[in-house]
Amino acid sequence: MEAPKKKILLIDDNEIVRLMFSNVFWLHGLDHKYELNTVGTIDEAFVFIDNPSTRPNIIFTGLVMPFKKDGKKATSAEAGFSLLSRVKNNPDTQTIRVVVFSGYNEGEYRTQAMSLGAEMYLQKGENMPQDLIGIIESFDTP
Amino acid sequence: MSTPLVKLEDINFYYNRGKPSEVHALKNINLEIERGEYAAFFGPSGCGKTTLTYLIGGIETENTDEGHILIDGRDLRGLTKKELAVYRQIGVGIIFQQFNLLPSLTVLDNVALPMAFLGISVDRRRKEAMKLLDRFSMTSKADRFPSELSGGQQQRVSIARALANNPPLIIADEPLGNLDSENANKALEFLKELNEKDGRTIIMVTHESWSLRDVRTIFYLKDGELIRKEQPEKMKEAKKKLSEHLYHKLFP
Repeated sequence: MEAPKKKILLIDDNEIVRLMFSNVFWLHGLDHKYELNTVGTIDEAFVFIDNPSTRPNIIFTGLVMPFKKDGKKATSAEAGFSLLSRVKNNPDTQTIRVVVFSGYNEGEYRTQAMSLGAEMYLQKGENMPQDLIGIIESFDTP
Repeated sequence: MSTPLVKLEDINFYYNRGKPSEVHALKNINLEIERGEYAAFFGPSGCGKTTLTYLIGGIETENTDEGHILIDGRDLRGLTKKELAVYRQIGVGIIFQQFNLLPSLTVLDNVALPMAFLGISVDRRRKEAMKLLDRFSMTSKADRFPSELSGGQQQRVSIARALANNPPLIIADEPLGNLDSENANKALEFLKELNEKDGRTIIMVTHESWSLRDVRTIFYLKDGELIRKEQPEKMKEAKKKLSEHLYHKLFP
């Protein structure tokens, strides 16, 4: 029997980022090895994360995204940070590896992401399709 | 069985359909190209070979009249405009006969341009473009404009640009058309290297039989039809191993 495919979830509010990601998977044959889902909001992300049968092994998430706070809509880095801490503080989901990518190369953001348990902090615009493939495959070796 | 990288099913393509000038450019084309293959579409001018590569390259996809263009199992005809735009940027690199370099951009910026569509930062794309130029011994020309280069040099820049976003599929449309024999030989060497060392799938469009020397699968086209598929290496091997009788039965 074939080993189950590793599940990867991408969260980003930019459609082009989501399309690029899924096209890299498709065109470089990663679809045969991984199951990729892409969503545009934090709420949609937790539909996948909370359900044990769709729970991802790896999450790639944007940092500054729209999210709801106290019933109000806001757009800030808190979106990505709140997702990260919710995943890492839940015993059921804390083993998920989370890669944060952001358009901001601020040391403060990087430090905060890493201290909340992110695996990596990538800067948007610095990663070619081949880098993405390399990162994903590097997670195959424990 | 692995999924072929390219699979065309019952493709029919017309230019000016329904008008007096209608041309049935591709007729019931069915073919498969595996990942890592080095294939050629071979035939005289007007046989439909360039149109065929345009469909695979996502260029005329929307105007295809009938059939399926499957890339790793996914039909390009089912993609949205945005999806198709991303596919054209990262799925396929095209080397054009006329090179198609932008005259107002330097060599370096021509190679870096496809990366800009992916939102890659200026510094990173220049660094990557420089690496590609280095591979083709063209770093000394990075700041020149295309008009200052010879045909062979422009061709190398055009190959470097086709590789910019690391596409798994490279299409070379009559890549030797505008080159002298020395540069044509070099171009063939580059294509062979991209196939053998980098493992990229290559489709060459050509009407010159000598340019088929490294190709492993040849699709012969005539008047919009695929008339024959040949795999010269396999035929040679088979000829060595089998008796003439059996060989002729297999490859009549």
